[in-house]
Amino acid sequence: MKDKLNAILLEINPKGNIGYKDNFLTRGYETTAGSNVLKGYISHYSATVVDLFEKNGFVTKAKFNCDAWAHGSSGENSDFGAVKNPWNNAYTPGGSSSGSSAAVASNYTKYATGTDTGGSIRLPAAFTNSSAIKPTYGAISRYGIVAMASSTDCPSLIAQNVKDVEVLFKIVSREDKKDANTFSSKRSLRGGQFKPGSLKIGLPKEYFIEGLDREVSEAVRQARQVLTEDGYKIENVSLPHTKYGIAVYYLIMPVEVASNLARYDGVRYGQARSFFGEEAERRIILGTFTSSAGYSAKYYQKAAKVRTLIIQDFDQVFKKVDVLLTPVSPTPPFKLGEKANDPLKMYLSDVLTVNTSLAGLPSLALSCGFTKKNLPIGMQFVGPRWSEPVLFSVGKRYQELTDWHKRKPSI
Amino acid sequence: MKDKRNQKLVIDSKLLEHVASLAKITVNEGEVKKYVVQLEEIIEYFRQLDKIDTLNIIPTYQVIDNTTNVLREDVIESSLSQKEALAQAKRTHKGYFLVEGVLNER
Amino acid sequence: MAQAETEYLVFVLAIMNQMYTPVIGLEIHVELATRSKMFCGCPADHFGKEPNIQTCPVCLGLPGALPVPNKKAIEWTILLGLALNCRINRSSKFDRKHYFYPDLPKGYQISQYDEPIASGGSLKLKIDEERTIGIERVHLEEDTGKLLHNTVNGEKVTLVDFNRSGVALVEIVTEPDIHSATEAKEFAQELQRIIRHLGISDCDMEKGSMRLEANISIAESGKRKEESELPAYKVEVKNLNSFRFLERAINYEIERQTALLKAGRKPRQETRGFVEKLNATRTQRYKETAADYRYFPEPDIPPLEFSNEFIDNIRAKLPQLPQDIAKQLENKYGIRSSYARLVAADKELTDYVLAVIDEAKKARMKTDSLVGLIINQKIDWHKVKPEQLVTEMMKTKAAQVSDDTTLEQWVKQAVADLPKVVADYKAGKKAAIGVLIGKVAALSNGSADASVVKKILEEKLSR
Repeated sequence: MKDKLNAILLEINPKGNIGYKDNFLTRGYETTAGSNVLKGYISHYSATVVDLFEKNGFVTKAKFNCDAWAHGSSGENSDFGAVKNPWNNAYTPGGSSSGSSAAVASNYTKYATGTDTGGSIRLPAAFTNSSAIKPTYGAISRYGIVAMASSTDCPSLIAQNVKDVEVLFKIVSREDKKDANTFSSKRSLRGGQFKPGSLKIGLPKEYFIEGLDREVSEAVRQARQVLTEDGYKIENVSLPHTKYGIAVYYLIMPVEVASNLARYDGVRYGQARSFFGEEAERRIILGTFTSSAGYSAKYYQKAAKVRTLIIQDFDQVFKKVDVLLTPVSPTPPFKLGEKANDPLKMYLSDVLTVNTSLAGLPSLALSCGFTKKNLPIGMQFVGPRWSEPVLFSVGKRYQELTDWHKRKPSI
Repeated sequence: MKDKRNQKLVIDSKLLEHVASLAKITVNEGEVKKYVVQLEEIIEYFRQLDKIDTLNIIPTYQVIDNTTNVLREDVIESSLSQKEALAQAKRTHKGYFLVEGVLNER
Repeated sequence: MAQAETEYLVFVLAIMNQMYTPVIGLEIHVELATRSKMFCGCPADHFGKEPNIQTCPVCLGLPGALPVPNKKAIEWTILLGLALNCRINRSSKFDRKHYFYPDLPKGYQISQYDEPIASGGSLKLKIDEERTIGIERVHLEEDTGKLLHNTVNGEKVTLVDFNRSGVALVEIVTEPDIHSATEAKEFAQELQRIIRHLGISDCDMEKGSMRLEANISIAESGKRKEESELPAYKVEVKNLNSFRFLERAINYEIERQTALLKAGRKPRQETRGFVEKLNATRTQRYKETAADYRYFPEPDIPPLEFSNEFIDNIRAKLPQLPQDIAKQLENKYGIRSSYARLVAADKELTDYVLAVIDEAKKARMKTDSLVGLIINQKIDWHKVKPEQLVTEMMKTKAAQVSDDTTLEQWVKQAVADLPKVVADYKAGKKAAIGVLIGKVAALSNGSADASVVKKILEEKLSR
């Protein structure tokens, strides 16, 4: 344990300026993905994202702790110990990109990567007062990143403000012939013709349900106020299938997870499958079950159909508004140990982020306030596919009008 | 095995053991019991999807703007050396990966 | 062909006696001769190479690796589908097929499940009568690594080489339309001819670039509710490393299963392997239920869409197939069918023979025995130019008596000399033709080619 937050699994170069979540392969250095199965695994190639940053002058500083295999919302599923939130060490910094967010928030590094499959960069960003982009699915190459759920995995970027996130994004958002899903004719269709003042922001009512923590809803309400005063038009919209997102996600994601973890058999590299932790085992068993003969149609395929309905909800809404504004988490940061023994309860913390993952949409997470206990609260701007420029524009403008992002934890 | 409400479980111990072996995950008795309870709760949560009408809905498996035909030309690119390929394996023998024991036929 | 005739008689008797009909389907895997592998740029040519020198993160199943499909492999699969009269499916995709085995690095094989590239085709056989075997599907997938069972320091182990892992593999599945070992062999051989002719694979059983599996069951005719109902079980037979083994294994299985059924027992649904030294099949494992491969669409690869233009461009590249070339040699040039098929299987030889035929025409020479000389390796056709060959033959007696007009005269004479034999033949006694052939042989001092004479006689006497 190199640091008191337990965010750093491996320091590579103290003079470096970017750190990678430990599911990014880094040539010549250990990559564990937070799991004992890959303890000691040294890859002889780097993720495309890592290569691109290096080509552009970034120097690798460290590899960051995370939930094993990116399975988790709190960092507590890491085989190498949980990460602590720099704002209050008794709390989680969010997961699965727990180390990345703690490192950025504690100023160990200004720049870091993570991945977001169902909320795994947005939740940590919200819990640590950081800014992060979960990009359009396919915008950034997944090559060389330990796969979790192939159809929603997004390499993501986290920094101390939206401007810095955008700098990172521009370097790595490009086609990669090693990742077939980065090719889309729509890639060049950037949301170009927008005037900041005339942007329409939608508030989907299903994200502001009863049960949403009062401090969270108040912080987002204040953000809405700030934006309205600046000239943004705000409108109430509806995404009727929102509440099914968790069921759909936890039906589809484990199937892909079980499949992607099938290669870890200890023959060519890594340890035997008995080294998998409990959460990984649970997801593998669940995913194997819901895709097995006799159950696949009822569970996996049914979920895929509801996924279509969720996507249609977004398509409809983006005909009326340009961007959505929602909270990131139904609660402020929770204590380490609070949800660890209740898998379903832990899964429900993703309820406000999974739908955008299922639809492959980009989402910018940034802070919008603090609780009375001085814990960060985050919100997200969600846009149609390939609308990152719009998101960055609103995000940067919001950070001109507020200064939550300038606050630092007292270390 | 029945739960408190005396309903038949979707996933009982036998099925869980079968699924675990399909997934090549070894589970002991305690783990089987624990997973059965947890998974049953999760699967019960999935039931809310039953009431959604999806009769004419096409499933979505990828969100890639309906992109098709991303192919590569038939050209040779560099491979790993034998040393690199074997570097992370626990056991190797004369250039091969080594797997212990006698295998059942595929 | 005596064996085939016997088998066919048995088959016909079985049908007539409402007894036991073999129901056989074949599954053939063919390694495509693309330069690179199916989903990565590693060299695909692995035969005889040092182990594990042609791998990369993708075909070794390393963390974070992603597959990108080989365009040529897809085009060649479509080409094969067209050659087999298949429908090319406009929408196609890859799926993951899950099972654990050390030669399968990802724990799943990227294959095709419900949207194969081609389906619903057929292949005509021609043993004693023309039969058509249905092709259920032609799809594309990746090959596995290779296993070697060994003992290292007294320990029984398995050694794995991944050079072959990821090589493009085409799978051809027939309908269960095959009814005998001979038919199965003929099918496999014809398929091999076509694939080699297309130039997409060396399709070599010894090298392993062609692999066969057979599914065999016996239908009890008369006990089925409908003609189209298949037996309720099937036995999968593997380890068929040659066409000879294929034949032997099928015949063994037909005997074994028929005996069981006759005794009132049902053959077990299982996988068996052919054991060479026993000349028999033996159980490998029982398959009570189908394997659960938990197929789902491959999320890392966008689906395939084939436009009509794309397919037409490939169709235009389809060469004339061996069966059609053979027919042409037979019908147009009077070459006997056994010679024609052998010639048609080899593109170079076909070109040579056509040149020879050209020269022979100029010299007004009968071509069938010329071809016979080439095939029976009486001459080395690689060394002799077509014109040379013809000139040589002009000099010898054998060629001279192959001249049409001389033969015609002898035949006319024989027919005139033996009117009763002719009458017998025309009345239905087909064996009588032998006497006439014998007469021509006598007239020609043994130099006339009997099979050519037979043809001329048959033609003459059918009028």
